[in-house]
Amino acid sequence: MEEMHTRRVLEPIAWILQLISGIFLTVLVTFHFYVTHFVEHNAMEYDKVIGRFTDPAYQVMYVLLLLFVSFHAFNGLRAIILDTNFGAKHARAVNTATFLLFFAVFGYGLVLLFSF
Amino acid sequence: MSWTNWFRISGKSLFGIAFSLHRLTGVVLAIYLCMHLTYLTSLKFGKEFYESLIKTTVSPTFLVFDILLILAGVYHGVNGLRLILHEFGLAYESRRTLLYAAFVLTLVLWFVASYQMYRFVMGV
Repeated sequence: MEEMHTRRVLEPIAWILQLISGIFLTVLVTFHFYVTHFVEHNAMEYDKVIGRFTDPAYQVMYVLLLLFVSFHAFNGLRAIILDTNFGAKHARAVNTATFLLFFAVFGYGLVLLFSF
Repeated sequence: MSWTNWFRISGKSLFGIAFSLHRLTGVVLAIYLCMHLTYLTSLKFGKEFYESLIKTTVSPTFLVFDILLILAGVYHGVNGLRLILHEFGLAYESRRTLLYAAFVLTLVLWFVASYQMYRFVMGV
Protein backbone atom coordinates (compact mmCIF):
# COMPACT_ATOMS: atom_id res chain seq x y z
CA MET A 1 0.00 0.00 0.00
CA GLU A 2 1.33 3.46 -0.84
CA GLU A 3 2.47 5.62 2.05
CA MET A 4 -0.25 7.92 3.38
CA HIS A 5 1.63 11.03 4.40
CA THR A 6 1.24 14.68 3.47
CA ARG A 7 5.04 15.15 3.66
CA ARG A 8 5.26 13.02 0.51
CA VAL A 9 3.59 15.65 -1.72
CA LEU A 10 4.91 18.93 -0.28
CA GLU A 11 8.29 20.60 -0.70
CA PRO A 12 10.36 20.29 2.56
CA ILE A 13 10.03 24.03 3.32
CA ALA A 14 6.25 23.95 2.74
CA TRP A 15 5.94 20.95 5.06
CA ILE A 16 8.01 22.58 7.84
CA LEU A 17 5.98 25.80 7.53
CA GLN A 18 2.78 23.74 7.71
CA LEU A 19 3.96 22.27 11.03
CA ILE A 20 5.11 25.62 12.44
CA SER A 21 1.91 27.44 11.42
CA GLY A 22 -0.06 24.56 12.98
CA ILE A 23 1.68 25.06 16.32
CA PHE A 24 0.97 28.81 16.28
CA LEU A 25 -2.64 28.20 15.23
CA THR A 26 -3.47 25.94 18.17
CA VAL A 27 -2.47 28.81 20.46
CA LEU A 28 -4.05 31.64 18.44
CA VAL A 29 -7.34 29.86 17.62
CA THR A 30 -7.75 28.77 21.25
CA PHE A 31 -7.15 32.35 22.38
CA HIS A 32 -9.61 33.67 19.75
CA PHE A 33 -12.28 31.19 20.89
CA TYR A 34 -11.57 32.04 24.55
CA VAL A 35 -11.97 35.79 23.95
CA THR A 36 -15.16 35.44 21.91
CA HIS A 37 -16.94 32.75 23.97
CA PHE A 38 -15.46 32.41 27.46
CA VAL A 39 -14.78 35.93 28.75
CA GLU A 40 -18.11 37.74 28.46
CA HIS A 41 -21.55 37.15 27.02
CA ASN A 42 -21.51 40.29 24.87
CA ALA A 43 -18.11 39.60 23.24
CA MET A 44 -19.67 39.38 19.78
CA GLU A 45 -21.66 42.63 19.98
CA TYR A 46 -20.79 45.14 17.29
CA ASP A 47 -19.05 47.64 19.59
CA LYS A 48 -16.97 44.91 21.23
CA VAL A 49 -15.84 43.49 17.87
CA ILE A 50 -14.93 46.94 16.54
CA GLY A 51 -13.16 47.63 19.84
CA ARG A 52 -10.92 44.59 19.28
CA PHE A 53 -10.40 45.42 15.59
CA THR A 54 -9.08 48.88 16.53
CA ASP A 55 -6.94 47.80 19.50
CA PRO A 56 -3.25 47.62 18.42
CA ALA A 57 -2.53 44.50 20.50
CA TYR A 58 -5.50 42.66 18.99
CA GLN A 59 -4.55 43.93 15.53
CA VAL A 60 -1.14 42.26 15.85
CA MET A 61 -2.82 39.07 17.06
CA TYR A 62 -5.35 39.09 14.22
CA VAL A 63 -2.70 39.77 11.55
CA LEU A 64 -0.72 36.75 12.79
CA LEU A 65 -3.88 34.64 13.00
CA LEU A 66 -4.89 35.61 9.46
CA LEU A 67 -1.41 34.92 8.09
CA PHE A 68 -1.03 31.52 9.75
CA VAL A 69 -4.60 30.35 9.17
CA SER A 70 -4.76 31.32 5.49
CA PHE A 71 -1.31 29.80 4.82
CA HIS A 72 -2.11 26.60 6.73
CA ALA A 73 -5.54 26.23 5.11
CA PHE A 74 -4.47 26.66 1.49
CA ASN A 75 -1.11 24.93 1.81
CA GLY A 76 -3.01 22.02 3.36
CA LEU A 77 -5.62 22.10 0.61
CA ARG A 78 -2.80 22.19 -1.97
CA ALA A 79 -1.27 19.05 -0.44
CA ILE A 80 -4.61 17.25 -0.44
CA ILE A 81 -5.28 18.07 -4.10
CA LEU A 82 -1.69 17.25 -5.15
CA ASP A 83 -2.17 13.86 -3.47
CA THR A 84 -4.98 12.96 -5.90
CA ASN A 85 -4.56 11.67 -9.44
CA PHE A 86 -6.03 14.94 -10.76
CA GLY A 87 -3.65 17.08 -8.67
CA ALA A 88 -0.58 15.09 -9.69
CA LYS A 89 -1.46 15.71 -13.33
CA HIS A 90 -2.11 19.44 -12.90
CA ALA A 91 0.40 20.38 -10.21
CA ARG A 92 1.29 23.80 -11.63
CA ALA A 93 -2.37 24.88 -11.85
CA VAL A 94 -3.07 23.59 -8.32
CA ASN A 95 -0.05 25.48 -6.93
CA THR A 96 -1.09 28.71 -8.65
CA ALA A 97 -4.77 28.46 -7.65
CA THR A 98 -4.07 27.72 -3.99
CA PHE A 99 -1.45 30.48 -3.80
CA LEU A 100 -3.97 32.95 -5.24
CA LEU A 101 -6.59 31.77 -2.75
CA PHE A 102 -4.12 32.22 0.13
CA PHE A 103 -3.27 35.70 -1.12
CA ALA A 104 -6.96 36.65 -1.60
CA VAL A 105 -8.11 35.41 1.82
CA PHE A 106 -5.15 36.89 3.71
CA GLY A 107 -5.45 40.19 1.81
CA TYR A 108 -9.20 40.42 2.24
CA GLY A 109 -8.89 39.71 5.96
CA LEU A 110 -6.32 42.49 6.32
CA VAL A 111 -8.50 44.97 4.40
CA LEU A 112 -11.46 44.10 6.62
CA LEU A 113 -9.42 44.33 9.82
CA PHE A 114 -7.99 47.77 9.05
CA SER A 115 -11.13 49.35 7.61
CA PHE A 116 -12.64 50.53 10.91
CA MET B 1 -4.53 8.35 -4.77
CA SER B 2 -8.22 8.86 -5.31
CA TRP B 3 -9.88 11.15 -2.75
CA THR B 4 -12.61 8.53 -2.29
CA ASN B 5 -10.02 6.52 -0.32
CA TRP B 6 -10.68 8.87 2.59
CA PHE B 7 -14.12 7.36 3.05
CA ARG B 8 -12.93 3.77 2.91
CA ILE B 9 -12.70 2.22 6.36
CA SER B 10 -12.19 -1.50 5.65
CA GLY B 11 -8.56 -2.53 5.61
CA LYS B 12 -7.43 0.73 7.16
CA SER B 13 -5.48 0.94 10.41
CA LEU B 14 -6.53 3.34 13.16
CA PHE B 15 -3.69 5.57 11.95
CA GLY B 16 -5.16 5.54 8.46
CA ILE B 17 -8.56 6.54 9.81
CA ALA B 18 -6.94 9.34 11.86
CA PHE B 19 -5.18 10.52 8.68
CA SER B 20 -8.45 10.57 6.69
CA LEU B 21 -10.25 12.41 9.48
CA HIS B 22 -7.42 14.95 9.63
CA ARG B 23 -7.89 15.77 5.96
CA LEU B 24 -11.68 15.82 6.12
CA THR B 25 -11.70 18.17 9.12
CA GLY B 26 -9.05 20.30 7.39
CA VAL B 27 -11.29 20.79 4.37
CA VAL B 28 -14.28 21.61 6.62
CA LEU B 29 -12.19 24.20 8.52
CA ALA B 30 -10.85 25.78 5.29
CA ILE B 31 -14.42 26.21 4.05
CA TYR B 32 -15.42 27.64 7.43
CA LEU B 33 -12.54 30.14 7.25
CA CYS B 34 -14.03 31.57 4.04
CA MET B 35 -17.52 31.59 5.56
CA HIS B 36 -16.22 33.33 8.69
CA LEU B 37 -14.61 36.15 6.71
CA THR B 38 -17.75 36.52 4.60
CA TYR B 39 -19.80 36.73 7.79
CA LEU B 40 -17.48 39.39 9.23
CA THR B 41 -18.04 41.47 6.08
CA SER B 42 -21.48 42.25 7.55
CA LEU B 43 -19.68 44.57 10.00
CA LYS B 44 -19.20 46.93 7.04
CA PHE B 45 -22.99 47.21 6.64
CA GLY B 46 -23.45 48.73 10.09
CA LYS B 47 -24.34 47.79 13.62
CA GLU B 48 -28.00 46.99 12.98
CA PHE B 49 -27.32 44.59 10.09
CA TYR B 50 -24.45 42.83 11.90
CA GLU B 51 -26.43 42.37 15.11
CA SER B 52 -29.46 41.02 13.26
CA LEU B 53 -27.17 38.34 11.76
CA ILE B 54 -25.72 37.59 15.21
CA LYS B 55 -29.23 37.21 16.60
CA THR B 56 -29.98 34.62 13.92
CA THR B 57 -26.74 32.65 14.01
CA VAL B 58 -25.93 32.75 17.72
CA SER B 59 -29.09 30.81 18.51
CA PRO B 60 -30.18 27.31 19.62
CA THR B 61 -30.98 26.45 15.97
CA PHE B 62 -27.35 26.93 14.95
CA LEU B 63 -25.91 25.34 18.11
CA VAL B 64 -25.66 21.90 16.51
CA PHE B 65 -23.51 23.32 13.67
CA ASP B 66 -21.32 25.17 16.18
CA ILE B 67 -20.79 21.98 18.15
CA LEU B 68 -19.90 19.97 15.04
CA LEU B 69 -17.52 22.72 13.97
CA ILE B 70 -15.87 22.64 17.40
CA LEU B 71 -15.41 18.87 17.03
CA ALA B 72 -13.70 19.38 13.67
CA GLY B 73 -11.47 22.14 15.08
CA VAL B 74 -10.54 20.30 18.28
CA TYR B 75 -9.80 17.03 16.46
CA HIS B 76 -7.69 18.77 13.81
CA GLY B 77 -5.74 20.69 16.48
CA VAL B 78 -5.12 17.76 18.85
CA ASN B 79 -4.31 15.26 16.09
CA GLY B 80 -2.13 17.88 14.39
CA LEU B 81 -0.07 18.38 17.56
CA ARG B 82 0.34 14.59 17.81
CA LEU B 83 1.65 14.48 14.23
CA ILE B 84 4.00 17.41 14.86
CA LEU B 85 5.47 15.64 17.91
CA HIS B 86 6.30 12.59 15.78
CA GLU B 87 7.59 14.72 12.88
CA PHE B 88 10.12 16.26 15.26
CA GLY B 89 11.17 12.74 16.25
CA LEU B 90 9.48 12.78 19.65
CA ALA B 91 7.55 9.93 21.31
CA TYR B 92 7.48 7.84 18.14
CA GLU B 93 7.79 4.64 20.20
CA SER B 94 4.57 5.62 22.01
CA ARG B 95 2.61 6.43 18.86
CA ARG B 96 -0.26 4.02 19.54
CA THR B 97 -0.72 5.27 23.10
CA LEU B 98 -0.58 8.86 21.88
CA LEU B 99 -3.19 8.13 19.22
CA TYR B 100 -5.60 6.83 21.87
CA ALA B 101 -4.72 9.80 24.09
CA ALA B 102 -5.44 12.18 21.20
CA PHE B 103 -8.90 10.66 20.71
CA VAL B 104 -9.67 10.91 24.44
CA LEU B 105 -8.32 14.48 24.69
CA THR B 106 -10.42 15.45 21.66
CA LEU B 107 -13.57 14.16 23.35
CA VAL B 108 -12.78 15.93 26.63
CA LEU B 109 -11.96 19.28 25.00
CA TRP B 110 -14.97 18.95 22.68
CA PHE B 111 -17.23 18.44 25.69
CA VAL B 112 -15.77 21.43 27.59
CA ALA B 113 -15.89 23.77 24.58
CA SER B 114 -19.38 22.62 23.55
CA TYR B 115 -20.72 23.13 27.08
CA GLN B 116 -19.25 26.64 27.05
CA MET B 117 -20.78 27.27 23.63
CA TYR B 118 -24.15 26.06 24.95
CA ARG B 119 -23.90 28.46 27.90
CA PHE B 120 -22.86 31.29 25.58
CA VAL B 121 -25.74 30.74 23.15
CA MET B 122 -28.36 30.21 25.85
CA GLY B 123 -27.04 33.16 27.88
CA VAL B 124 -26.61 31.16 31.08
